[in-house]
Amino acid sequence: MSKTRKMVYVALIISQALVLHYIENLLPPLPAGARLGLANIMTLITLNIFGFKEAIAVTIIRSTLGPLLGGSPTAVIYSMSGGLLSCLVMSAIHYHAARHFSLLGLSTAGAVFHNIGQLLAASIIYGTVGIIFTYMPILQFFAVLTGNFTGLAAKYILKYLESKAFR
Amino acid sequence: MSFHIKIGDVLVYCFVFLLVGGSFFGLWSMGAGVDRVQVRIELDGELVGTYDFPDHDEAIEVNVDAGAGRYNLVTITQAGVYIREANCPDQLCVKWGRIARPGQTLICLPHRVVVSITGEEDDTLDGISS
Repeated sequence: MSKTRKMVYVALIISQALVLHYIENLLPPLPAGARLGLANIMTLITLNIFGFKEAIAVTIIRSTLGPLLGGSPTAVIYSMSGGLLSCLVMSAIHYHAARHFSLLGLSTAGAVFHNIGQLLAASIIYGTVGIIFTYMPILQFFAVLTGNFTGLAAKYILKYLESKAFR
Repeated sequence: MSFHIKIGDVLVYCFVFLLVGGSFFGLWSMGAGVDRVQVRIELDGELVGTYDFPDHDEAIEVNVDAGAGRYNLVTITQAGVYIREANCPDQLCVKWGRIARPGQTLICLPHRVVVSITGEEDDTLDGISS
């Protein structure tokens, strides 16, 4: 794949991630500020089709622009800390232990570490570990559900892309 | 397309159980052996005030003014603390409900308000020995 072609695809993926991020704001909110994490579908797809560098680029750009589209500027910190940790963990699994993980497991790991990143950021900003202990159980409960859901969505999209667009 | 569960997936779920268990243990250990439990309210990282739980069946109302017309109404009762009303966009702090154990925390991210239950180490044993 040529460099330009790749850049166009990555740009497309970023804009799709931003649209998903925006659509998520229109859905009814989950308890405790849990999110569906639809944009994570795009990170998963980028990681599988392109690789680590492109996935981290998608994560950084969508974490910066997403909250600015439909949220407050401070949300960038939480989006970024969660997104980066999630992307790093998913990349580590993808490159070193892909054989032992299904796509659903990979996605769930990403969702779980997204929450860990956000809670760590919040506890550092507010200077209390109580935040982590209070919110961790309910957020991780939703991470398991939403992680499997986004993994499933990514699985069907990847199946289509691999048979139609990239082979 | 297969939907087999692999060993790594099981590891992820084990990790989640550890995190959840660890959080409950963390909360429990923050609440164990503490005395003089108080409610601490912070706004933008600065202390608004600390409040004792009321002795009787009464409620303390604290109106936290986050500026620019933004507010959180914190209610402290004998049974716990909750945010009764707020005009933040997400209303998460109101929906979270009541907290009652030391270490538990309510946050309103949009207004940067943190309500936490704190306790001091119980030092009565030292008092007896000295």
